[in-house]
Amino acid sequence: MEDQRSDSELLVVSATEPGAFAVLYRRHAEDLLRYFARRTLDPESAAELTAETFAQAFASRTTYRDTGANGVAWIYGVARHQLGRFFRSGRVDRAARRRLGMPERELPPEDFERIEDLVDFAPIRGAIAEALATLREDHRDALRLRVIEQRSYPEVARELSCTEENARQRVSRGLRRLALVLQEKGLQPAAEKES
Amino acid sequence: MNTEIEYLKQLETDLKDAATRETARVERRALQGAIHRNAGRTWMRVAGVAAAFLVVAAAIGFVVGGAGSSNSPLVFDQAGEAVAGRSGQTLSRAVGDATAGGHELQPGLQPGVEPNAVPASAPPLKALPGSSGGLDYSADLGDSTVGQRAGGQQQQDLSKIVRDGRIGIEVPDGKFGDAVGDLTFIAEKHGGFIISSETQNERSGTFVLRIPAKRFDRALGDIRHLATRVRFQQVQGEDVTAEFIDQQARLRILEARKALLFDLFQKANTTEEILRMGSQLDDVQLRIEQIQGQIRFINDQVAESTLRVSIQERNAPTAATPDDVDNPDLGSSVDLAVQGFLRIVGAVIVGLGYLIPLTVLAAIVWFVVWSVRRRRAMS
Repeated sequence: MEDQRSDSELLVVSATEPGAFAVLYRRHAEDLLRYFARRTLDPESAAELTAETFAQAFASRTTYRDTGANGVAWIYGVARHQLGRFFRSGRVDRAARRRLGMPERELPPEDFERIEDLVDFAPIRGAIAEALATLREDHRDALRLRVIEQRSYPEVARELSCTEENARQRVSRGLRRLALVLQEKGLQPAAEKES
Repeated sequence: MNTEIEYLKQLETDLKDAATRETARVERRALQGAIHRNAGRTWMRVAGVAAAFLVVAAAIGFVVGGAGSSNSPLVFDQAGEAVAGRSGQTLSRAVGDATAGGHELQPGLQPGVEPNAVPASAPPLKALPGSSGGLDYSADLGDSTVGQRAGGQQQQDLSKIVRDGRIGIEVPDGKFGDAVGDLTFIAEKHGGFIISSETQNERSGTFVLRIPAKRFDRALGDIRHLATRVRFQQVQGEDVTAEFIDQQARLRILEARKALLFDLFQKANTTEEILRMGSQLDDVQLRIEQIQGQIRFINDQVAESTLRVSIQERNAPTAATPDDVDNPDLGSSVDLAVQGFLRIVGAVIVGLGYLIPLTVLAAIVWFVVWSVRRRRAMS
């Protein structure tokens, strides 16, 4: 049975009942992953940012004060902070997960395509094509095959004469670089309204 | 959450694990807090019982010390000073005072027990010149049974107290000269004299008097009568008994040595021996005379007290000399504080002497009653 409590209530209660935070996670994890994926264009980074954001929110839940706004806005505030740090430093912070004793997990191969499916590339294809010109040749080829021609990773690997893992890596790094270029040009990969 | 993304499922598990750990930590902290609070309460109870025990002991100590003796603080002084490690000097006074006043001595303060006492076999001391003052009782210090002599011989106070004081008085305007005349008369009347004086504008002045110790209080009283107002008064005493006894003992030893050396000197056959013995005799004689001088000095100090008197007309300009100003004496305050503290400690110790056996007795009675009840319940 679904928990009827609001996000704010769950955040407040989680200070004394840490288990309540899991309800909040189940409600918003996929949306937050999509939020990150559309901004970073990189499944690995998006997954890690999602993990770090929830870890940070869990660690700081006792500082949350119910001011009448929706509790999830507070979580997206943490997310924006993490994203800003990511764009500044080029890497995802791991401090909160370490503090909570959470293991560092690799993104399973099958999740790459699932997370990419969360990103709607249609509105930004033009901008991507322009930004692609600034990337390294191997990254650009990988992105062209994977994002524009929408080939599967085994096909990308065959085309580039590399392993499937290597192909994922090139796509991932290429997307991360692409996201940074788009960010610098003021082009948001996704224009959906934040919660 | 209905997702196919494996990473999010794993993340949910990780977060749940973190939540479980956090719950355990919160519960552990709450438990530790409860344990600490309980321990704190237990300690508070123990401290409360101990404090109550000490307060009761102090109350008993004061009640016991105050019953039947107007000099009860002396008892606490004795205990307190004994605690402070000054028993040697104080005990001799306490024994003398208590036995002379017919007061019952506290356990452990037996008459005749003199920490600095001269061995019983030592020759009795002779009264020295100038030792006839009010507080001077140079007597047979070696007699350990002095307080228990048969024949009703009065107990003698062996203490040597050097007393001095200062007083500032105010006299009506134009009466300074009369007051000085009266002061001179008071000094002579009590067998004393003015050893120095200093006046300002014939309206105020300071005078140093030497008064026989036994007349000190009366002289002070007479001087107070000259005043329209006493501006300040301070009397203090220094107990030099221990030093006096030390010097007496040294003197006896040196005299015995001198006698021995004299014997040897008479038996000496060679010039070298005669010279060596003579030199040693000279040394001993010199030391004897030095000690005799110190003893005479102590006796003089004890026999006569110094009284510093400041006289001032009512509207005379104040010449603020250090002696005129009634400064709060920090040293005296500290002494008083220490004395008060030691009195309390003394009272607690006396009270504990009563309370501990009573507590043990009560515990035994309680245990017997408890055992009997338990046996009856079992049968």
